[in-house]
Amino acid sequence: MVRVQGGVTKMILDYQEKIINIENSSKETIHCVYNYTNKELPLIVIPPQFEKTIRTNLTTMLYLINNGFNVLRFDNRNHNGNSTGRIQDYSLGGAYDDLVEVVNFIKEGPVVETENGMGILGISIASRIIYRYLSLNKNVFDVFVSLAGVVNMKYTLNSILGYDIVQEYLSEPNRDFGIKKVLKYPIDYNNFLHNLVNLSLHTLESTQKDIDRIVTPISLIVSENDKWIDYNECSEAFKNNADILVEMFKLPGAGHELYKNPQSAEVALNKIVELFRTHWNMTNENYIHKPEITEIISLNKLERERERFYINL
Amino acid sequence: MKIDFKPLKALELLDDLIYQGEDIFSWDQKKTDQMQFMLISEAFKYHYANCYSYREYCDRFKFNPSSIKTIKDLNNIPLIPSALFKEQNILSCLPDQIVKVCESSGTKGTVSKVYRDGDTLNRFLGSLQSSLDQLYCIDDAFCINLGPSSEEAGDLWFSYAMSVVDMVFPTENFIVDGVFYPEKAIERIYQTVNDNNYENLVITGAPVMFIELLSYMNEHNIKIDNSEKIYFVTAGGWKRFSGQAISRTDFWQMLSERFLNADYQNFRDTFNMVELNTILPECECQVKHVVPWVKVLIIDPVTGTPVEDGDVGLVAFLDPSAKSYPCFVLTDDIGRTSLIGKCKCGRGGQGLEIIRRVKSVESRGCALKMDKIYAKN
Repeated sequence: MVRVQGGVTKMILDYQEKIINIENSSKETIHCVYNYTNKELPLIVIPPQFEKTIRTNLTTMLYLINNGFNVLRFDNRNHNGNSTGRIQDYSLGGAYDDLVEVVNFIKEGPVVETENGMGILGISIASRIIYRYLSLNKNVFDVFVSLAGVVNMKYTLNSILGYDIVQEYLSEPNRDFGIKKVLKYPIDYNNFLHNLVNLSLHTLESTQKDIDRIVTPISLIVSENDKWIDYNECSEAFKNNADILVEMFKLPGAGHELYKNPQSAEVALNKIVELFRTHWNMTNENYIHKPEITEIISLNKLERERERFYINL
Repeated sequence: MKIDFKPLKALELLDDLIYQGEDIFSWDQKKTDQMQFMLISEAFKYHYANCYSYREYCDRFKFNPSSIKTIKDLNNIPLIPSALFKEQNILSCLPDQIVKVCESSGTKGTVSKVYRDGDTLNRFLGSLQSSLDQLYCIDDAFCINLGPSSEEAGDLWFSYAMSVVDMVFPTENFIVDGVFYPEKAIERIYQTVNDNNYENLVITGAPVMFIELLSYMNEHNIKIDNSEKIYFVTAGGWKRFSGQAISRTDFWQMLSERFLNADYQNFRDTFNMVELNTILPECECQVKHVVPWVKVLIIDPVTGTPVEDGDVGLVAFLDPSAKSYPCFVLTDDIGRTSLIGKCKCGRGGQGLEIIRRVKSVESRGCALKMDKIYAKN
């Protein structure tokens, strides 16, 4: 167990860090980082966004850990980060399986404590995977908060790539789509698209069907100027099951990539803390402790070192 | 049951531009003028109200927020000579809001101190990210910093600013405990070029540190093949502690002899100084592009007024991105506007050429300090 040194911090609480490498049935590793101050606090699970790693959610973890929660972050397999596999082989189905493995490990205990509740935070594409998980696994998570969450993969891919690749796949499923970048890294489109469509994760309607079966309370935070997500579709996806929607917030002027936009990210992270606190009636806590940018810079360096260390393993 | 989206706090215009602006180098002059007028006059109003010493200074010039009526009035905003940051603590916020004291490197002992709060430091990082996104267009890279880590850099701004690239790309630093390790840097360069784990390799450092590296390579007859994807990013002065100027042409000659097939378009100098909160990076045509919310003025040192476009003078910046201090700075750099309008690279706006430092009693510059401390050759 690593004790994060308080020496680099000014505002941040000292927290504990435990590295967990979960092995699935194929002997592949899902690399997790569990941060906590007091194991009795509610746990928030944060799956990675597309192309991002545990380190990308450092600031999010710091907000949560400083304000009454423990956090478990993980890297997807076949993705950037320290889990098994290359990002070229990424698929949403694989990311879903990783979430299942991680949750099963948590539930088995006793490493990660969830006696006082477990929530999940989905950012971007991770939200689409979480909707599927919650539709099939009821009463596992107490609450879900989605930040700039994808509900329509077809729309999102079309917005990023500039053409409707999902439609092209549906029209010509046997065509060779090759290995190409979605954003920064090359992906095997044949595997990715086949998996997406085969598991029915590709349309708004498929998300609606998932949401129709969910019982977990959900809050949404969307970005008003998100080029990759039509935020109206985020609420539309709940049209048959609006009762599970707790609250919906909009970040005026913000785009999708909030990790590049610390001002909107701060507003969103404050709201995320508030939403989780409200869910668990932590009403005696009003003040939100915020990490300073200098602290984030220092801890980012430590997380880079940890990333390098586990790549070498 | 229908629930509506509740709006959260809106993003400020300047932050929108810094963190999310995608077309900032395609603005026409009218839009640039409008934005500069709005953002700089607002920033002036803020600092006039919140920085007592700056307000007093402005009052001596009989200049206050009501003096700004048109874009031309921005030229009359009282400029703070950079030397003044050595003598006074210039602050527009409460001391407990400061997260980073940033120091220049007075080579004879006196240093400028610039106090940055969280918003100001975040905006600086935003300018770094947008430089990488919009002028370098690099997605995936490993960075080799011929300097110390942010911890070791301490308050020395130059080194700190170079090391925070780590926030964007994985970075390894090759000054450790005050010692430069060229052999380790070369080993890492060789490994990164040959592993193909990253699309690009970025080597950053002061020109003097590159010379240290190249001298080591020369001594040991080391050459790196396949250097096409390496970006050579210099920052800091082009003068050695001995007073000898480093010629950019000679520098490239030395570099290309050791890094075979290196692409001249990937050789990018960058301008920043401790008092300036924005990075001015070069495009592939080696033009230092100024982001449109920053106004660069070239000042006649005799009259104190702006010179004609293209003429040489003292470089001054009106940078509204600093919140914790007024970033209306008259530098001791001599330069000229090298671009107004369209660059060969396709981007537009203002371009800046830094020619040299004003000859003064004390040589000042972070690269000089690096040279004095670390350089052997």
